[in-house]
Amino acid sequence: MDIVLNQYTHNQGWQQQLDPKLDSNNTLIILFGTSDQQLIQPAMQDLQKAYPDSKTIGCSSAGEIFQQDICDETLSIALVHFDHTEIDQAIQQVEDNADSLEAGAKLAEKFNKPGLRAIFVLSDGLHVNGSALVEGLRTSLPDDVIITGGLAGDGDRFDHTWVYSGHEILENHVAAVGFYGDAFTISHGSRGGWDVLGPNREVTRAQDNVLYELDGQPALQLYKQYLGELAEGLPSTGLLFPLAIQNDEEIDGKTVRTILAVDEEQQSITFAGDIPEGAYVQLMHANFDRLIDGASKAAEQAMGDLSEDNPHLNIAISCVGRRLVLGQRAEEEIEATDEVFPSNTRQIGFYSYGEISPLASGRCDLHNQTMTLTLISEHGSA
Amino acid sequence: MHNLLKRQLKKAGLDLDTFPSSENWQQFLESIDRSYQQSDQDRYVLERSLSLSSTEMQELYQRLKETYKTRESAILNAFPDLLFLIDEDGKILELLAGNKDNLYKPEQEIIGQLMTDILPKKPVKLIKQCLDHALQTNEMQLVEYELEVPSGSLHFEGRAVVMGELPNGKRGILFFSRDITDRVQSGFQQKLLESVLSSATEGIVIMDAGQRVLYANQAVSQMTGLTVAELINEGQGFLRQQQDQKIYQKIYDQARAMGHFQQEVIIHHQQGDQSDVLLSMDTKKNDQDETEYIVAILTDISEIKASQVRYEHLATHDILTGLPNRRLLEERLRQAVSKARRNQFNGVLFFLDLDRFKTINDSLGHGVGDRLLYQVASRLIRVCRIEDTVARFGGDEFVVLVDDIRHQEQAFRIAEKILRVFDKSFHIQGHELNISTSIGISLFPDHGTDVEQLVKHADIAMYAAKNLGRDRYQVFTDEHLESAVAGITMEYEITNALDNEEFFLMFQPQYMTCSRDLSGFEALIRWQHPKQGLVPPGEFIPVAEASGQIEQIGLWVFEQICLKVVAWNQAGLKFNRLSFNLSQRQLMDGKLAQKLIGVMQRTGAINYAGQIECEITESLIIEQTDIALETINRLKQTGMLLAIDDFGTGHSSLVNLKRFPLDRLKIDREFVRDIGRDQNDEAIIRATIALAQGFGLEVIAEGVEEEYQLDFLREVGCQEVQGYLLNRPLSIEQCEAQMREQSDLPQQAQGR
Repeated sequence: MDIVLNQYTHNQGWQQQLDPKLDSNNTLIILFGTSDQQLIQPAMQDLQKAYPDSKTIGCSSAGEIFQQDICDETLSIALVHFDHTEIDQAIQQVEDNADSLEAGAKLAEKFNKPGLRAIFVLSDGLHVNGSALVEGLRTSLPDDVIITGGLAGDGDRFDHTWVYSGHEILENHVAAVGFYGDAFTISHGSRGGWDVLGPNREVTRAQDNVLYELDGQPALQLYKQYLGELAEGLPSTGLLFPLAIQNDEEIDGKTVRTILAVDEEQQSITFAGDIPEGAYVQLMHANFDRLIDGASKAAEQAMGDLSEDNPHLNIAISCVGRRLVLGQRAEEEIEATDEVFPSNTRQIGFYSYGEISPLASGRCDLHNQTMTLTLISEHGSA
Repeated sequence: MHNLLKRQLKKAGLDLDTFPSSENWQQFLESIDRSYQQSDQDRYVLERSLSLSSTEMQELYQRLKETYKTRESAILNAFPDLLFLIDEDGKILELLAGNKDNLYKPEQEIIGQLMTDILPKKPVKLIKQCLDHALQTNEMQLVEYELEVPSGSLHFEGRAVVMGELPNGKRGILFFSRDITDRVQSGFQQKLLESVLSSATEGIVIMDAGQRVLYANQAVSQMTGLTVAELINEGQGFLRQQQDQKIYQKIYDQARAMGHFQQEVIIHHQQGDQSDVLLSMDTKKNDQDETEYIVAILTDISEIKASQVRYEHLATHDILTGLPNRRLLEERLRQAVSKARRNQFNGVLFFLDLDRFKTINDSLGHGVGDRLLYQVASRLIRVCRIEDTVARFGGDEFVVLVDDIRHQEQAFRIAEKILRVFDKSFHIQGHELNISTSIGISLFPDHGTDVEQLVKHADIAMYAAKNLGRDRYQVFTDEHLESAVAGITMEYEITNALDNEEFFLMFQPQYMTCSRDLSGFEALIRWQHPKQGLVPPGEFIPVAEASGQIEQIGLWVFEQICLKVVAWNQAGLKFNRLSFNLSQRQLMDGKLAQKLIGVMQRTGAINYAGQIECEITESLIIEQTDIALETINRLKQTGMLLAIDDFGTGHSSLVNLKRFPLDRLKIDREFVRDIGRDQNDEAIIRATIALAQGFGLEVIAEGVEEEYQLDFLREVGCQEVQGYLLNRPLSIEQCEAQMREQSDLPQQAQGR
């Protein structure tokens, strides 16, 4: 397996010359870029020309992770040429949150062939209920198929996102690639590192991923109270206070949800995943050291006892909320993960509106406010 | 150097050794500025959120605290227990009490005190033991104690739980104290109730609505032979095996419908016995008017039933003979009559009256009489079929009822059989008794269709048989009825006759055989009926005998002869004696001697007792009753003479003859009549005279009507005679005239 990382900026173009020799049916281009399509349009055309046969997957981000750096307004790519692994790509359109479950199921069917080992999914970040999408995928695929991925981002704007597949930029879509064959290896890790704050609150009114009331009070009011003057920055400042839902299936006993949008009229908040009515939730707040430590733990979890001989690609998907909180120190979590892996590991990734990976129980779910790592490699690769 | 500063330097393209370009410096400063601003913002968010959440937590804590307090006081109010925190030394550190009335002392006087300082010795000792035990074993311990508290003397149950080290370093114990006074008392009541129930003679069963046995006491177990556990496990209702399903369901349904039901049932014991039980069921309903419990009470009435049967037997049977009594007879007769009517059969009623039973009873005592009746009953039963009824009607009266004869002859054959029952002597207490019976027969439906009529007619027929000489049977006829009616009329008229002095005496003169001199008289009674004229003694004497009027008549006769004896003597009239007849009925009267002597004394005849002769019949000697003998002896003591009438007819034994202090034998007219015709009778006369001579008795013959009879009697040595040949019965005047005439005769003519 060969891995080549490359980065394009509007001002400086590609860091390295594109090498068309790597183009093949077994070549996968993974890319993360700014939501501003104008800025990266030429790079997209370059890729299509240089790698017409290669499979592609990518999405807009709230910051691209490229090796140990966090960049904005770039197009960061990893070009992976597999020796023994078959890959396949597919997309599914999603118009509305409510379509998410069905979209997941339909998408899964497109990959349900013998030898399927894993699926890497990148979804529209604003019009998809991540929980439902994962549920659709999970229930339509064999249990041993690993699903990882994330929801596309749009900086701290929450305006529009895109996904990329088959050399096309698509909105309101979910894109995925499937990996087939015994040579393919994949592992994953996911950690948060947030502290809970204040009392347990009961979700007294919610529907799917829209929260209306906590303890009988408008949820938005509570957020505004905690944010104070920062409330003007909603929904992005809402990321300072993710919501922890009690969930015994998670390693730390809780599922974390981040805010995607607010509705002043409804006094409601839309989250990246479901908020079940009747559940108990707690506000969370950041503790820098613990967030960074969480990233490190996620890396350790993903690395496990993988062979250090084979080159690995680490796809790091971290939550936009973490970047917002960590600010200039966000790169520390990137460094922390990279330090865990052997030197032949390449790291690419993005700040997302949601992360997808299996829980401790093995059941795949949507996460928020985590650092989620997907580590892929191939046996017998040089 | 801070990592962030390092990174900021790196991003700005600066290093520590080189002076920065203004552009790089500017970039670095901007980066630092952003850091500071972010830091401010972070601090703002953090402080704000910490403060807010702290406030929220505080509020929540307050709310919880209030809720807890409200809950605690609610629990304490509802919680009946007292709760003490006690250290290992027995010091009471804290207490919670819902009901302060159950505290031994006010709360403030308890807290901080040693138990031993405030509680009485006895409970303290018990509690202390419990606490020590709890501390030793580390397990919960129970103790019960009694304590006098302001609300009264209460029973408490204490629970001690060790709870680890207290802030003062000592081990602590939680001690819960619960008022169990009600339980203790209800326990006592329950025990009392249980012991009463279990020792009750009545069986008591409590069932639920599904007839499942919830409780059964020992008595039920004894009645059924099932253990209490078996009864309870039965699950099907305890009587189900015992009773026909339908009967059981009926009892149960009735009890449910009416709330109470009672019926006699038979309970079968496991070992085969059975008992009569009065089953009484009551249902207990709940507030919804649904049957909740069924309470069954079983009273063993076997004893009552048995005594009822005994009582019924007593009420319907004669104690002495065990035969059905009059009441049962009447019932059977009633049934027989209606059965005969339905089946067009004939029935027959035999009414038996033992002949001369009273004589036996009076002379030999009731014991002998009773034994005789018993033996008669036994013989009667033997001679009858099992389906016939032999009843004791009363006294010496028996009735035999046969309800299915075809014709009258059949009845006669049965009557003959009954008569033959008496052929053989009865042997009782060394006495050989010969007795007969007279039987009256009524047939139904011919002689009546109701019980009263049939019995009456048979009774009348029986009297007819008696009148015909006893030891026979008579079928009822209309004539019997008439004569019975006549008898009743006569009885009434006899009473009138006594009052109106319609009786008078005639005197049969007696003469010396050789000289034909007048020797005495036999007084004979006559009745001058105001309408019917002279009534023969043969007609009214049996009626008077039967009715008992004979006693009065007899006394009247005796008084008359006494007066005559006195008057004649005073008038200087000469006669050897004046004799009178004592009837058998009279001799049964134990006071007869006393009565007669009284008359003699009153009239003065006692002075002439040697001229008064009492004639008794031979049958008296045969039956030799004690009363009669006693009477005779007492009369003899006055000097009265005693003659035996009708001698020779009764085959009296010589032994008996010897026991009576006789003066004279009177040869019956039957023998005299056959003189010259029947040599046997002549031989009897000869033998009688020889016998009399042997005993030193004189002899008189009655009924002498012919000269040759007189000759024979003279020849064989009979001293005196009476009869129509020499004279008919005379009136008082004729009598006295005869005596005057006699007085004029030479002295030697006056007898011996």
